[in-house]
Amino acid sequence: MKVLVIDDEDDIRQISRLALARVGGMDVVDTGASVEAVEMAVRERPDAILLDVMMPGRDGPATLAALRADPRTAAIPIVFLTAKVMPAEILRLKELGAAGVLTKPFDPMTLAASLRAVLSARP
Amino acid sequence: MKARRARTLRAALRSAAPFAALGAAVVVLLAWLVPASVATMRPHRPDFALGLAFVFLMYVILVFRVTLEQERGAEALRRLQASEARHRQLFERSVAGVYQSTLDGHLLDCNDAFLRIFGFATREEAIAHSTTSLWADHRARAALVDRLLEEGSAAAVEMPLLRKDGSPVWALASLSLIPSGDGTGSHMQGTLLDIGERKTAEEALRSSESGMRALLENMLGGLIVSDPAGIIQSANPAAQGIFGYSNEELFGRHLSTLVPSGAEGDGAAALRATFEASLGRVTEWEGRRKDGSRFPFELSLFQFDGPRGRRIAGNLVDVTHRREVERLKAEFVSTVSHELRTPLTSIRGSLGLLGGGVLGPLTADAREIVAVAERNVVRLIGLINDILDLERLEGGRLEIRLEAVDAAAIVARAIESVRGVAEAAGLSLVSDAPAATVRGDADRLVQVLVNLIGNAIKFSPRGSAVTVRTVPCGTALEFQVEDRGRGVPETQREAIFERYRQVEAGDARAKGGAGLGLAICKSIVEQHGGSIGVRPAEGGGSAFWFRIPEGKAPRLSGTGHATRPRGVVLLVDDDEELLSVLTLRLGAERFAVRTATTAEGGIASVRELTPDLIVLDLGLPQGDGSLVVRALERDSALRRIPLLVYTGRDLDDIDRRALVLGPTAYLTKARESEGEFMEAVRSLVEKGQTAGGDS
Repeated sequence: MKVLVIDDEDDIRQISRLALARVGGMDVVDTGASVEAVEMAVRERPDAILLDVMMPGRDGPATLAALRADPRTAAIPIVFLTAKVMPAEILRLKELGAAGVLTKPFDPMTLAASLRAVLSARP
Repeated sequence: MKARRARTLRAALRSAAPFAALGAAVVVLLAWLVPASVATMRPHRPDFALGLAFVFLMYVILVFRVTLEQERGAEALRRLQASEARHRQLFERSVAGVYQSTLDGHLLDCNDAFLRIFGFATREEAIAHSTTSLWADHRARAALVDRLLEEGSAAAVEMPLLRKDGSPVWALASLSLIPSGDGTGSHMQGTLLDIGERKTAEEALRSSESGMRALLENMLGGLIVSDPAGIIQSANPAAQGIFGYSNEELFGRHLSTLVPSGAEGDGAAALRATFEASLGRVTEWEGRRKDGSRFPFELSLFQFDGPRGRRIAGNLVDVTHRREVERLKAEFVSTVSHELRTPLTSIRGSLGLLGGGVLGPLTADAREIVAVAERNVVRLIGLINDILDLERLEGGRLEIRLEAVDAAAIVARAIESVRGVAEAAGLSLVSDAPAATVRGDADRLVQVLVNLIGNAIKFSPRGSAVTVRTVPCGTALEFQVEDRGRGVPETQREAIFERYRQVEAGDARAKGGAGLGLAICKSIVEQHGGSIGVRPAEGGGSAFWFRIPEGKAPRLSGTGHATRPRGVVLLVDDDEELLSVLTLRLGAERFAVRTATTAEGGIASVRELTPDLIVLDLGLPQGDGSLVVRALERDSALRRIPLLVYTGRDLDDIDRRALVLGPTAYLTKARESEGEFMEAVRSLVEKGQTAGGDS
């Protein structure tokens, strides 16, 4: 399973990479520039995208819209990773068409399992 | 007049009659004596008789005139006496004080009312007391005398006077000049009424009026008064400031000038109806200023009956600023949430990877230290969550969804999430919570219980037990968390529910926590319409309790606390009405019920609860119910859960083969009876539990 991680925070990207690859045994590619998201997804063909919500420039929801707009990446399931934990916020993100929402701070030992669970719950 | 003249005439005739008779007798005597003595004067006899008759007539007229004059004088005197008696009576019996005095103030005469007004016992006493000393203000008296001399009289003058004992009395007086008895100058005569009570009432009214006016003029809130038709009568300066109109501009305008929502179409009537519905409550409106800008304001309406009829008054506060502050605060909370969580995510993640041995094995000491760091980061995250929660609760931004939820399931979830902590602390957790339905937000109630149990664990001695139970309490259900700790001193039983308060100042360091947990609990419980508190537990320690109103489902009475739910049933259906009916029906049969209205919610609930049965509708708003089956059949832990597909669709065999988990049954809504539904539920739960027991 290959996951594309998009987050502007280098530290968090590094931890996510370790948590998903070393603990979860997944292939991980990542980028801090959300504007490269579509290009990277077309090139890497990931099975899922873990997408940060609050990013400078193009934020999570805008990135999701860009990925959905391109037929080559429209079908890739997207899971948001957000530091905003208000229920209304989470509901809003789900309504944008995300496969699921995971919250920060996360436990690196269970991140991969949570991601799998969210993905398996979708059709 | 005529009658009086006739009467006087008659009286005069009566008085004159004896004199006339006497006169007549003298004439007859003369007529008899004279012819005899002067017979020789015969030729002159007729002349003599004629003269005699003339004299007699003159005499009679004279007598009559004199008598008439006398009678007239007597009549006038009688009339004068009667009039004087009448006037004296009027004077004496008048409720008004009447008096005469010299111009320099010496009392000449007065009536009883005058004595009463000024508190004198006798007229002599009053006369001895100079009139001038009855005046509170001598300049006013001098001015009044000047006016009298100039104009001759003064009517309805209000005068501040003094009683004999010096107490003030307000009098309404009419005064006039009269000629003095010796004809050398003038006296004054006055009539007084004591208007003290009226004056006091007037004073009170005036001071209350001026007080009210000052209040209205200076209050921060706007006040607008209109008639029942919505025509503005007045607006205080605050209201003028809020809307940007002057009082003169507002007077006579319709309220729809200020509240545009009612301006379209049948504005006045619609506005009136809305206003009537808002009477006695605080409501929020959108106002329009003179410059056309719109703004939110809060309005409290009331009506009263004024001198010119029914009035509607609105007390209003511009909440533009408050709304802006609320928005900024929400934004701030959201930003802080993100800004703090980002670095914490890195720290927690790094420590987690280190402690998990992902980056290579650690020595025992290193593992311990990493665990310390990780535990404290988790605690810090908890604190931030608490602070944000409290801010959101108090700002009303934390949604609480009230629905019928099962108390037993809430207790079970709460206990499950703290079991690890309790075991680490060497404590046992005991629960006694029969199935009961309350109206609440399950997640938030679990949060309250976890908080209370967490506290109990912190303050309990090793080896003791923390007991969680639910007890019916009127129309509410009381949740209790009992520990064997040191208890809460009586003086602090209320204070500990305030923010940042702990029983002992050192507790924050020793036991962790910022002292926000109970404040959050209180806020959540109150948003449920419940109450929270603490009392000493029997046998030492404390019993924290909170009460939540019961839900619609009837609780089984008489079955005792020991009753355990027969199983947890998850209902996945978007028909809210059906959900509440089924919750009720299943609750009555001692099933704990959870509900979900979407496929995604259903999947989440299954993962969280591992229910004994899933009752699944297929036509759901976001995604088909079959998604639940698709998600669960991939999970080895969940794919054996019994399933009851309960849908309006007719399913063929192919459909049915695609919809199987553990023991599975299919019922069509509106075709099978309630009895068949319950039978299917009972049988599936039993099958699942038997299978689970076998494995």
